[in-house]
Amino acid sequence: MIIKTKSLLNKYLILGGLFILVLVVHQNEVLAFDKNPVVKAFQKQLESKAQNQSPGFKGFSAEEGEKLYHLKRAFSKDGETRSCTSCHTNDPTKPGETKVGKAIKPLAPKVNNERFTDVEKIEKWFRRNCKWVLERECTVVEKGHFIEFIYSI
Amino acid sequence: MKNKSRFLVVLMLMTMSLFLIATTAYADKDEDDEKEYNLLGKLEHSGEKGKKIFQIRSIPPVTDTTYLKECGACHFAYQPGLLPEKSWEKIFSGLESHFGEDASLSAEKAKSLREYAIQNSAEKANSKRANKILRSIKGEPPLRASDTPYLIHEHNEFPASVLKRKSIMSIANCGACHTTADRGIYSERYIHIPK
Ligand code: HEC
Ligand code: HEC
Ligand code: HEC
Repeated sequence: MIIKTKSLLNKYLILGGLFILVLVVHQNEVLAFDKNPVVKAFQKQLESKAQNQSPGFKGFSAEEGEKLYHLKRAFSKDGETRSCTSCHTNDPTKPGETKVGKAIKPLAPKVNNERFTDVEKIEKWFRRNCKWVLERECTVVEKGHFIEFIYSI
Repeated sequence: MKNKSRFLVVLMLMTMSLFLIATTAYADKDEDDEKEYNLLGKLEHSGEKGKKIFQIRSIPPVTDTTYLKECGACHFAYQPGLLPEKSWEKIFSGLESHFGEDASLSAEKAKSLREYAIQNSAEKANSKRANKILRSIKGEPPLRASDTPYLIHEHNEFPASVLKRKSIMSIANCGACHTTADRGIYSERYIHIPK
């Protein structure tokens, strides 16, 4: 009798454990942020261009993208320190602000699912913002790194 | 008895007329802006006719959704009625280098927004404030609405340090102080300078 309840208890414990495991795995799946089809196709395009341009290309890295995001650069005309963080703040999951005081919704797709859903818009802002910070357009490799970074958050 | 009720009626009429006088005196021009705005909303459905009946005080609000989105991404989407046609032409011919930023658009979008701005410029707004802006400009029209003599004059009352506040950042941030700027209403009544 005692043995029977014990094995029954064990059975429930095992089942319960499995249930919790499934829950945790499922949760993780939801948390790890998936790229939408638009940005996936865009990055594929960047990748094939990168391979054509530089044979040594080893794929996009979130680490490199993070470096670009935090890079500080002195503007040639007046030495003003410029960075992606000047408008998007140190934390891309937080709202930012333009130089004219207009709020910018967070850049990280994890908290703003409107981001990276329109190639024309993505390219437009890469062009504008890279020119403002770096005084040149970003390369395809830099754009790929940056997207890798923003999706790693 | 009869006299008393007559007296009461007279008293009532007197207080009522006093009340009326008081409220009309209070209903200053700013309130007209609000009424006018509501009226305009209705007139919009009756087409161009509505616009021509009387000259409005406020600047007609932006109605083009692409303009609101594209020209409202970095700052308040300035009403075309804030500047003359010539200023808009200059702005749209230099979007790549726009006040130190790149505001360039696809040729197609730039063309349609340019047309929208020119068709609704200060000359076409039929608005008293737009006319004040226009009349104040002597010589070459500036790129900025905030640089037109009329607005420079209106804005000379607060110290420049106010514009450095984190809540304002720039004189170009019209909506920071003019709480009804998005409706084209710039009346004193709706100004609140944030700390
Ligand atoms: C001068 C201010 C400013 C700076 C500096 C800046 N950005 Fe932005 N960025 C903006 C604004 C404004 C938007 C558009 C916001 C919106 O649409 O809500 C934007 C949007 C973007 C988008 C578009 C995302 C999407 O699909 O909606 C990308 C990508 C981006 N920025 C990347 C960068 C990178 C990379 C840097 C640094 C090289 C940078 N930004 C620096 C102001 C800035
Ligand atoms: C990439 C960011 C950006 C975009 C997009 C943009 N602007 Fe601007 N605009 C600026 C900046 C920066 C200023 C200067 C603001 C300041 O002095 O604080 C400015 C100023 C202006 C001014 C002068 C405001 C004043 O002081 O009276 C006008 C008018 C203007 N922009 C029109 C437009 C129009 C029209 C569009 C759409 C075609 C547009 N802008 C899109 C960044 C932008
Ligand atoms: C720092 C706050 C602030 C900002 C930013 C600002 N204004 Fe003003 N504005 C004022 C004040 C204060 C007055 C003066 C009100 C008065 O004394 O009649 C005024 C007056 C005006 C008037 C005249 C109103 C009237 O009833 O006579 C207009 C039109 C106007 N501003 C438009 C603008 C526009 C357009 C912008 C953006 C390009 C702008 N303002 C930005 C504070 C501001």
